[in-house]
Amino acid sequence: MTTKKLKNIFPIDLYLKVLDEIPDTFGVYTFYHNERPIYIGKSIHLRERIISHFQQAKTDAKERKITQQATHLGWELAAGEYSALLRESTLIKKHLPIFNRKLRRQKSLHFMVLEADDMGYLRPKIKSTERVFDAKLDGYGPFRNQRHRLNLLNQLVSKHQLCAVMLGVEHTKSCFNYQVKRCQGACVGKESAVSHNQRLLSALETYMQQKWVYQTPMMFYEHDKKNHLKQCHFVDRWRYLGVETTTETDSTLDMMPSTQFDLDHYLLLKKIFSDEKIKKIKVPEDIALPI
Amino acid sequence: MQPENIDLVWVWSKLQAGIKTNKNDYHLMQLGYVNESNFPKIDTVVFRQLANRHIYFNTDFRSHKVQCLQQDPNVSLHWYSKEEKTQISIQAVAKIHHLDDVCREKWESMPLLSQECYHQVGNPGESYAADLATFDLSEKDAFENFTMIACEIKKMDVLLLRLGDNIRYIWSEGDDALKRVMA
Repeated sequence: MTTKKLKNIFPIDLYLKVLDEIPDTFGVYTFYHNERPIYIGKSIHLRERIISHFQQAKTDAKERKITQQATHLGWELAAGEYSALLRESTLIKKHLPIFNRKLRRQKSLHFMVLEADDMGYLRPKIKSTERVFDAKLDGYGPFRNQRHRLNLLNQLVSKHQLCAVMLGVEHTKSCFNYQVKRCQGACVGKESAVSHNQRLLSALETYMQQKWVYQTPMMFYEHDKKNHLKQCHFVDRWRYLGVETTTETDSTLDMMPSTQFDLDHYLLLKKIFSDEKIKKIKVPEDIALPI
Repeated sequence: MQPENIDLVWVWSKLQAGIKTNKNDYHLMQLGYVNESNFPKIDTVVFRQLANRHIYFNTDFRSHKVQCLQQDPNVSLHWYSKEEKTQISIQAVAKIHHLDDVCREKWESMPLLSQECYHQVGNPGESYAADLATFDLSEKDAFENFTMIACEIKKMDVLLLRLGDNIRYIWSEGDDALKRVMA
């Protein structure tokens, strides 16, 4: 990563000089306080984005704090938007900068499966709270925390008039919504299991966990021809394994220290793997991956 | 005109009407909570949403009431319709939604005018200063101030006032219906 010292950076000429050296292309940048990263970001217009931090510092308290505390600025180029996103997420999890709230490491994960009760009504159950992802699981999620999962169930109850008791958000005999005619009465046997199950499955469709349909690890690449930069990313069962970066003169392999499942990588990879413009290729057997 | 018998659907329809228009008597509600000195405190708040046994209102995360609700989430909510001579009183437990999906969804659907107050530089209750009374906070900071309070209903008390013949109903969590009691 290229770094430049930003002594008394805000708002003096030095910062403009440094910014002149930053190309306006895909990349990741880091604001450091001495040696410690305090904020990491990515952009498809690196130079423009870094300038905007200084401009927004006039009105935005957080931007002001970042630019005032920064003593160094570092950046590295990426071969495309997805490469920049993956790199940003990886660096944030590695350094945990104080001004990056999102993309922090997940301590636990929550999945949900549906299990039929004695009467045949499907009821959501928590499947796992470990940081282990079962790529073949017929479930929903993953959710960041229990609250995230319960918020979703509450939203489904009100949007689709599903039964709060059946979804486990209310623990009474008959749900309150039934009494105010906002539930069709699954809790008191007025709505059949078939009907409620059908409505529940349809409401949950978009939250279904994406299955890993490939038999082997896969790779995809992005190529920035203008900057002669090619990056090839390796993925297995939604776990991000690492990247091979090739420039005109050099080639480096940067593998992840841990191949544990990560929710932010999963959400990104899900998007990338559904992008038809990105070609997904089976990883050749001669490439040794830390699976 | 008050009906002879009421049920929860009737109460719900009255409250729903209060959300839809600010001309309705149920649009504003009195929120009772306990402050840091253990004194009862009452604020008037705008009643915003009704879903899954929860009553919602919006507030600023920097406000005094949020600090109090973090300490003690037990609240009382109260409406009185002068037109219908009806009082609805609810005991509930408040849950603070801040920087979550529930807040995000609501924030994005809010008119800009309603978002404006969350852009204020000074905290609610802070000593007045002209430079604090500006609305210059960025969208990001304003969203960080936006908070939704979801009050989960535990008990309900409905009183229909009639000359010499008041009617009162109560409901508690777990009950199947409103129960008539002596007024």
